[in-house]
Amino acid sequence: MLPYQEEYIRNVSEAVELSDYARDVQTSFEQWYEDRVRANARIAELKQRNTQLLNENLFPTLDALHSASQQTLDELNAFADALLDWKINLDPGVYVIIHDALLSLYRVRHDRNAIIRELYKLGMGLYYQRRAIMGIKFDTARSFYFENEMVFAEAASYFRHFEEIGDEETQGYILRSIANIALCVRDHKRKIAASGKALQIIRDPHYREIAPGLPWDRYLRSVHQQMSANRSSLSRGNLTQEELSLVLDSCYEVFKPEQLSGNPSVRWLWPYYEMEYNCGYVDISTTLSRMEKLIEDTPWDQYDISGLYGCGQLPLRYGELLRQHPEFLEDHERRVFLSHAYEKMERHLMTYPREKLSETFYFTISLVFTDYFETDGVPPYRDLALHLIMRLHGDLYIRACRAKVLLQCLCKALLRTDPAFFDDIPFIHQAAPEEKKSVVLDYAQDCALFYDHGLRQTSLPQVRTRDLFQNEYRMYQLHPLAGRDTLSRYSSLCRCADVAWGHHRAYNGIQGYPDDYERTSSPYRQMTDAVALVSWIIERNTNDFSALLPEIFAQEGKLFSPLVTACLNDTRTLEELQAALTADDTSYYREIWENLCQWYNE
Amino acid sequence: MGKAYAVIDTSGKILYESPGFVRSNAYEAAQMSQGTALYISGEDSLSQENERLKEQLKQAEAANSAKETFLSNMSHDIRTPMNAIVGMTTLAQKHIDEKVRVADALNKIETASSHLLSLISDVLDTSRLNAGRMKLASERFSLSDLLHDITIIVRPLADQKHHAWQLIANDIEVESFYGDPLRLRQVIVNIVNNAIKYTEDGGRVTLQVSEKTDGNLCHLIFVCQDNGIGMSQEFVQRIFEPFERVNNSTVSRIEGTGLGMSIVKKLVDAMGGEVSVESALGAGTTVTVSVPLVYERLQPNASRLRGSQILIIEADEKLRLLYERYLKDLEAKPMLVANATEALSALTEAGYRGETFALAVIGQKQSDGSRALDVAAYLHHAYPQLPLLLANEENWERIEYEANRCGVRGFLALPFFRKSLITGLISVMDENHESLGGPAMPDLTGRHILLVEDNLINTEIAREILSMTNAEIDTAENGQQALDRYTASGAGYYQLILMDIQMPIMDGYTAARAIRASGQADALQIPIYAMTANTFAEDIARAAAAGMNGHIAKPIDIQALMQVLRTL
Repeated sequence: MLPYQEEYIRNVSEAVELSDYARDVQTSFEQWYEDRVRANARIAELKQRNTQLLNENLFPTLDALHSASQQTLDELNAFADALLDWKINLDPGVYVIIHDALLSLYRVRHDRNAIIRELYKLGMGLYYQRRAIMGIKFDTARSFYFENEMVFAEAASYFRHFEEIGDEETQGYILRSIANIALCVRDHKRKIAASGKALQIIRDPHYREIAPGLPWDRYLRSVHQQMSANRSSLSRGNLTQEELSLVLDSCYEVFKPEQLSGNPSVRWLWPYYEMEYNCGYVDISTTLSRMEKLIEDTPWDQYDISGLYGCGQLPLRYGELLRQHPEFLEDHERRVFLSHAYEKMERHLMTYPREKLSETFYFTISLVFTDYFETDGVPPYRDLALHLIMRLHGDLYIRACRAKVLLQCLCKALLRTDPAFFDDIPFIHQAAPEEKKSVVLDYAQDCALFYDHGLRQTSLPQVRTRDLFQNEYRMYQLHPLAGRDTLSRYSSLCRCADVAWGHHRAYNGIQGYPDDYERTSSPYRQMTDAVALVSWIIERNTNDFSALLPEIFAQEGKLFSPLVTACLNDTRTLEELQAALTADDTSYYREIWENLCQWYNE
Repeated sequence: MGKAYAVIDTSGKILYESPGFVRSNAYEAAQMSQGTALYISGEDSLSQENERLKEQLKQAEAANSAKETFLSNMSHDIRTPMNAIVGMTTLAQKHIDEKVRVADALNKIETASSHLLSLISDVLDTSRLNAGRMKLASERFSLSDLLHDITIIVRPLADQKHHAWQLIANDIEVESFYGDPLRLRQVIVNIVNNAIKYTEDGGRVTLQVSEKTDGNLCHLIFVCQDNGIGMSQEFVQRIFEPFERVNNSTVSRIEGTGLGMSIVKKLVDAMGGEVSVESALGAGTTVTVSVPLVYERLQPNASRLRGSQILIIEADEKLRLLYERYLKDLEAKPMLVANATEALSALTEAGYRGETFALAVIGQKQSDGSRALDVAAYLHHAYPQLPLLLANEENWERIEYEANRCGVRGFLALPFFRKSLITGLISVMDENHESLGGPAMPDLTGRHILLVEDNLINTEIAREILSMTNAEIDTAENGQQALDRYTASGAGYYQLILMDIQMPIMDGYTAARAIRASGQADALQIPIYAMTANTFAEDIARAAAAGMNGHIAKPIDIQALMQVLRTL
């Protein structure tokens, strides 16, 4: 690798480590705060540096790729490989950029084997890059999935020439692409068909003879794992006999070696149990009891993939089953178990050692944000979400706290002008007059803390260490939808869903995104308008409110609601907003520190 | 001797008196009622005549009552949208400073106005038809276009009510007719809309179209069938009378004047056709319209399709059969696949054999549920030289922009028939100046492109691609040279500037800004596209801020370059 490539990788690794707010949390607050401020400054520096490294080195190389030497191409490949090592992916975005460029190069050169290789690699890059939009409804993110599917499908289409290709590495890419199509489709039948085709080929001795050097058994196990992931479709009743047998067979094949080992891991036991449940071999009650045992048997401090499974993903699945079978929630014991399982999950994730953070850890976190079952007796989603954000997205939390102070200040001003300003919002309208103000301010607090909830994915530390690429920016623009979709699932926060959805959409409905937010249809629009202004101010990252005023007024009726900006003509309001903007943020850091300390001091 | 009679028009004027017709007091009385054909037999006895007069009086009273009902309905139907218009106008005035509320009010006013306009149009049509003032056009029209238009109009309403809407038009041989397509469309849309409206949510509405040729005429037969609430036999008898509406609690909120079917009948009569209705309460309704039309059998010259490999991506079995049948008749070589994955496989296979597809048709239904435009975008990306034809029942105007961006070169409206398929295929091929199967490059003969690039190999590759368009290519090695060439050549000389960004002496951003500020007559219009590997969102925004029209990724992305070239 070239020096700039090595430096880039070092910088990303450092930034990932620094972005964990739990780092050195067991020191005094003063020491931690000082380190934290320094770390944030360093992250900003690293981001700038990495952007510069790409601008000055990578892009010119890609610019002149047609005249690049083989050594340059090898160095690019090595650089890309180091950025996506499947354990913790440092930068899928740069990986995609490099392989997309290489694919264009080889298309011009008509180099078939290289095209196949680059298609496979590009497909993998897109798959990991797509993690950033996990939790968004499939239809909203369909184009990203489709692009990914087509890349694999194009590589897979060369299967017709499997025999003639003669190069085992390329043959391997074709086989893996065939199997990976299943990663890009949502429909279970299509997933089963894709994995089924891969299984058929991998089991066929004819192909094994053609490419004897390929790791066929490893391929077989991977595809069985992929196929067994379709076990939830077993209970849907729309699978053909052949599809059913494929899934059942794979579930067994995945479980068999674990069973033989005598000490099967929870990671493989549960899929087998779930298959038995979905096939109707065992009833829901037995299944819940089996899950309880698996969850109980996993120590909260087992920091590995099995631990993430037993402490994280399994409790979420347990909650999901209870959601589907609410009659079992009437059993107090089960409700208490769910609550304990969730508490254990939170403890596990909050204390997960930084040096062990992995792709599976981030995947589990994504699941927590979207699959948590909020019901009576379990910790509210709001609290859990805030704790995880404090640790993994501390910068987002600090920003949200700044927004909270500004928004509450703005709401007070709006209520002074018109006490019924927020009365389109049903629960505010119903509040007693003497309580209205506090109801509005409490609501404003939640809105400020969660309007950017959709950013929790697109701002993973790995992609915060440089500027966004164009395709990442397209994903970033989906964050209002991710926020809306997530918040609307939880009773404690669903009233903030419209605010998350509409805070980047202009008041006049022309500028901003997403297009489908219709201001006039939302009863929460007045709060969304206020958040839109506050969010814009926060993004300006300035302490001088008066300097922003001309632009705000210029955007009155366009970007901003004139009803909201009208209160900015009042001197008292301006003074209060200025004070809020420059308020000391140490207390927000202290909140984080105190919260994180409690996990580490327990 | 037969019965004597007279015909009186709406003003009471006698239009015709048959031999033996005797005027009487009863006649004078009846004359007061309008538009009634009055029969009086000179031979009948007085008592018989009295009976007849009583019956006629009853009919006149019924007609009067229908008019009363009509006036009452109209008054309600007109007042309802008027209420919205007046109310929303007041609201808009009250909130004149709040633009979004005003916009919302205007939208509602627009909706109410459209409804009001349709009411008025119905009333006017009825009046024109009654007065014999409706003149039917006789112009050539395509059955495919007519059916496509009907689908575009009725599908949103069908979707809104979650109906399964199906248009069946198999075995159509004659596609060009002479007649009044607008009025024919009005008739069919009216019937289908009724079927949709009077069928409870989640129902089924089918329009089947067939033909029967008879000498110079071809009878177009439309059969609209639904599984809706149906009608009583008594109502079926009266369905073509004006101002009649089904009165049923299920449909009490359905808007309408009660004039639609009356207009349908009169229009079909005027076309020399027939309309009939079969229905029973709770058992759905079938309306059959048959109109005789002059037709022509001219088929476009399809010789260019002979021997061409055409890739059809369509999962709908019926459509697949049609494509196969028509294309095989034309001696083309259709390759039918059901989704994009299979299409890629076919293209790879063809590429490996050194063959090319003359074009690909992206059909209405993909077996994997993918969107047709997503398929187009990917195929265009992977096989930029493959011309794409989109076959869809969507409104082309609505999707044209996105479709063009996805590389779609032509549109085939569904349902299609032999002639429209040939025309669609040929139109896409015609756009390609090369021979069939050759690269789908736009012909830019006589156009000048300025290519600004400091890397010699990049210049060579870009030149090679651009040269396929027959355009004249000038090159510059840096921004300053580009600016000099542009200003020296004068306004209108170049039609496109492709600008590298990182260059010695003057970078691409600076050069673009300088060109825009040069004051040359076309300085603000000439398309300038950045060609760069810098794909940060900020870089792309920076290019836009420098006055560039877009961005093409490097190493040179043929697909993006072609897309730009096609806009010239």
